[in-house]
Amino acid sequence: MRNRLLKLLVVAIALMALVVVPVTFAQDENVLLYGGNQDIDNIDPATGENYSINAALVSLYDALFIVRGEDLVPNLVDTWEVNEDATVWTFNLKPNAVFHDGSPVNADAVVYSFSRMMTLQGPPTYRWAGIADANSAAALDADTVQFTLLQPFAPFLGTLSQLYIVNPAIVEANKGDDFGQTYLRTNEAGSGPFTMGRWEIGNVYEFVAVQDYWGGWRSENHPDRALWIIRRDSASQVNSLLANETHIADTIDLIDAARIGETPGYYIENNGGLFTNSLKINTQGEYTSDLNLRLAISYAMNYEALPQVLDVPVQLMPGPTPLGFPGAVEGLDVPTYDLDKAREYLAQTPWPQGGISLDYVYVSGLTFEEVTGLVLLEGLAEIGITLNMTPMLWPDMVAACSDPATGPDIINIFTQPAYLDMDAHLYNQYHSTQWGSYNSCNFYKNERVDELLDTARVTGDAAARAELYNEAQTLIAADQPAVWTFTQNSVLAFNECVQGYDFRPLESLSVLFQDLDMTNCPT
Amino acid sequence: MAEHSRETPSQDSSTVTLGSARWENIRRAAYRFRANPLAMIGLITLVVILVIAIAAPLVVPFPEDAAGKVHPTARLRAPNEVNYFGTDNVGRDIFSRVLMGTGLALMVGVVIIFLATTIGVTIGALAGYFGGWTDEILMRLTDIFLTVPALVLAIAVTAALGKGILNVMIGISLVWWPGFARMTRGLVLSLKEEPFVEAARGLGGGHLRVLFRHILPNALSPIIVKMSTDFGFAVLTAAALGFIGLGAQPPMPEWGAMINEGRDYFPTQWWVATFPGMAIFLVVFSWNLLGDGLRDVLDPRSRR
Amino acid sequence: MSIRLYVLRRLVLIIPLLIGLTLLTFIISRVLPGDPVGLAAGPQATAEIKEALRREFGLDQPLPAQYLNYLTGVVRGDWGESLYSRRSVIADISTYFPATLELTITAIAIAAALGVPAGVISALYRNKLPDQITRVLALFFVSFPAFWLAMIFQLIFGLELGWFPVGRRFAAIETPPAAITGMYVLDSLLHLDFESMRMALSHLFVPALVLSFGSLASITRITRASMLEALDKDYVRMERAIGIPNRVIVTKYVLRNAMIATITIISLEFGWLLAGAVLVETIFDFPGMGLYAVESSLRLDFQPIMGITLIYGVVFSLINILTDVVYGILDPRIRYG
Repeated sequence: MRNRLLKLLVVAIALMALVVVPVTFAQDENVLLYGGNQDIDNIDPATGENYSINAALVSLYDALFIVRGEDLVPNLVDTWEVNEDATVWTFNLKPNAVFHDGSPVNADAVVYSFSRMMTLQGPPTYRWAGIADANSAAALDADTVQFTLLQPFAPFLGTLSQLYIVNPAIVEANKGDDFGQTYLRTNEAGSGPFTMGRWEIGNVYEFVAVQDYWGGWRSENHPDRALWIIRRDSASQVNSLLANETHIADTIDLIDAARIGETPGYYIENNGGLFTNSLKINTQGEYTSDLNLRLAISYAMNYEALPQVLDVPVQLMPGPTPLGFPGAVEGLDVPTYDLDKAREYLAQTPWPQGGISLDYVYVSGLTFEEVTGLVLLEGLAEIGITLNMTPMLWPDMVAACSDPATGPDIINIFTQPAYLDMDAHLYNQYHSTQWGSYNSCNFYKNERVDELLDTARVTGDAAARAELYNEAQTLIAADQPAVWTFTQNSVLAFNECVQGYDFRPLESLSVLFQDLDMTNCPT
Repeated sequence: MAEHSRETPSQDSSTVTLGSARWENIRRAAYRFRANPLAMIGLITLVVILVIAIAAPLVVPFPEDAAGKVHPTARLRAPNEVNYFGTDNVGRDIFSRVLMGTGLALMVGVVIIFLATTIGVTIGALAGYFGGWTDEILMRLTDIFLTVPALVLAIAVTAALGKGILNVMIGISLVWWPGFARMTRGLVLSLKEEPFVEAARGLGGGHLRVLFRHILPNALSPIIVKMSTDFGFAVLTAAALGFIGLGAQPPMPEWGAMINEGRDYFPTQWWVATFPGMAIFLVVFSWNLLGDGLRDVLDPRSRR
Repeated sequence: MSIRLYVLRRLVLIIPLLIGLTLLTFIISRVLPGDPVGLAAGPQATAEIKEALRREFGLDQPLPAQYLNYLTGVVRGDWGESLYSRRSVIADISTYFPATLELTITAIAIAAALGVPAGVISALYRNKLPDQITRVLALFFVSFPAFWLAMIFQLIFGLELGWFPVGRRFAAIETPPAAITGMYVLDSLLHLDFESMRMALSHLFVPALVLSFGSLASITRITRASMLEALDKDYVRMERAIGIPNRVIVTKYVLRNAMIATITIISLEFGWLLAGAVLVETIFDFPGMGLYAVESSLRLDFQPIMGITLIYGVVFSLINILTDVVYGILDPRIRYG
């Protein structure tokens, strides 16, 4: 009996040993291994949008423009012109662009793609809400497409980096009863530098380079294959990077970044982004409709403590607009951490001694949102206000923001402009028509600000627009509809063999696989 | 979570209604329990844990750290003579938070088990006693809950209820009672044919009186065994929900949530996640030792 | 009743149970206060965009109609789509389920390989030191929070020792075996691709080991108890009395009898491990049902949640029937009725 057990044990150990021996593989092409922190859910350009989806779309498809570094660069577009009041935009397309099946990317394809996008009314269409509809685009000839907008819209070009062009023939062949949505969710119909390879849902997504890509490659040693490998948390991101299971880690905290930066063979890209955090204050709330209370809250925030306690590198905000954003007003008089001033303002409210309790809502489990709240909690406690930490699931937060009555007193929200224009930054957060969307959870209404933002939208002249936006920012700052905290840097860790990364403030989290260079990577 | 609702109902026919005999049994059981060193270790550890839970606010060095105080300049310190377990990502003393979290963990376990027992025993007893349609409806309902793993259902229910420690307790109890219901039903079914129950009924006792005064007391020991063995798993399940992000409201020192926070700093700042994990282990392990001992004592089938 | 009829009857009885289950999850998912549509529509969504999404998913219809649509869909094999990823739930489940199944089978194999011998040893040395040690060890391992232990094991075996990969199912850079069952180990075996099999096994081992701990205690305890019961039987005493060596008695009579109870508990445990995988998968980035369930729950993405609970319901019910059948085959005294 015991002998048999012993034998069993030996066999078990032998089996384990078999499993333990490390396995290595050789490859003869450039394979980029990217550790991405979330799934690529849906690659239909008309309905999918978040940073991982964008990374996939920009690889599989071409849009009229592409964001490279800080610039908006023509991609499918060769030349363009716009009429005086920014309503009619005409684009000439490059003649040599071809879809993966060899057919040309022509004006018809652009019209088809835009009309499909607007018909389906998917999440990406918020950019064009009220500005264009399914009939706005028309083909003048094979290579010329014209957009006639419903109203003047000066920052139109910026939105076109998200207009990915689909191959009409393929969509039509797989149209089904939902305009090809089922098909395009898991298949591509693009002209981009990559096609789809292995597509393991929830696990690994492979992009295979189109060697004779019509737009050409930046580097001879571009990735021949790029793998998006889901690594959901920073711990496994770092582990994989250091174990050479990935070349790039896209979610790491400061401490790990410092450690990796000191490790030979790796480097860190740390760039100030436009990923903006603010604690929105409900300007229609029971207590928080009081401006003095909002000011008291803002003076009770220990801003300087934030960079110390957050594990992501951050830059404090000088007001409603992050530093470095084109058109940001400088020298605004905004609150600093000053408990005396906080008490002073509180004394002018109906609750001079505090004694009230405010909800602070944030995404459940997001450490740095929690930490930001804890810093505010401590400051508010000093002036007699209780901050009620209220973590919520994301969909619950979205629901709460749909109505001023249910809007939280204070809510932690990240925003990122869709294009590099003050319009993309201010309109969705501070224009009163936007109430009900997540980004406008402060339920801010100032008629003068509404007017300024509307006028700026239709103003073509850059100097005049800047003037309008300056005034708007100053007014917003005075109304304190938010505690403006920080912009979060984009931190990526690289294996040294991967070069050619160009930080894109607008797409701070998605890397352009096509521009990377892998000359020094072992093959 | 692997353990619960899996006990086969066993009748303890040795417990008889006669008072002196019952006392005799309890005395004997206590003797057997004392003779079981592991169960005694479990019991003693638990008493110590209970004392810690009660005394924590008085003895921990930084009780305010469990109530929202942050120390930006003292973050992520390794264990040292001031912070025995180190500090976390906002500089709070982990030793204080772990100890202050003990009461919370125990309370969560107790509430879950009592809620689940109350619901389960009531439903099971009614089903077993009245039979017929009552039985059919109640047990089909129980079966529905039993077809899905408790943890999966608990996650879904708690997510739907919204985050917060109260919802965690409600959510887990709502998926935990069916085990108790099924077991109680089995016990009641066999007990209600016993002569002493017939006798009580013959003396004109009302249904509920017969059920709650005569039948249930005799089904008590297996229920208690299940309560004690389930307790540890209830604590584990609550911690798991906290870890997933459905747990207590910060800055409450909930162990599962503390592990989740510490995960980002693991392994470089290993102490943030390690100590709350060890605390959970200690509570669950001592309960399991105790429960194992109780089973030996109260469930004669497993006593050998 | 013949065994075939018995199984058939049990199978039919599952159906009302599953309908009840879908009703339960439907109610849970529709009384939610959250706004999953708003989340799926994105932070800048206008009312029109949200409305379009609601229409597309049929959420603008009255609740009874929605439920009926869901039920008919389920029967037709259309389990709806995730609001968030817009992927078909049934397609996602068919990707994720084999992964979890494979993990659970490995875990139960490890648990049985450790737990059954431990139970046997315990019984043979009843109340002596080896018995005490095994029982404490079993309780010891089952008391760890699985997610925490998973972190520790990942660190030790994956990072410090470097023996095993730190997570996932397969080296990302390599193509897993072409799907037949979706379970990599089995598939690579069917393709006679032993290199892939080794890789799949090396990815499975640590998460499965952590997972197996959850079942160690009960398998050990039940094995011990049933061994003891068998050892106490009259015929065993008789054999012992007439001088048959203990070793023969144990292997020939006792073990076989004890196996009946043990197999029952193993199949019961199987269902529980399937659920326990939720936590282990989260740590190991193991793309299975657990990760799917957690991600969907946190987004209140109710179509996947309903699909997940339904598939668990089906599997649990089938396992229960299977257990009873196996039990009956092993123990001819049991009659189906």
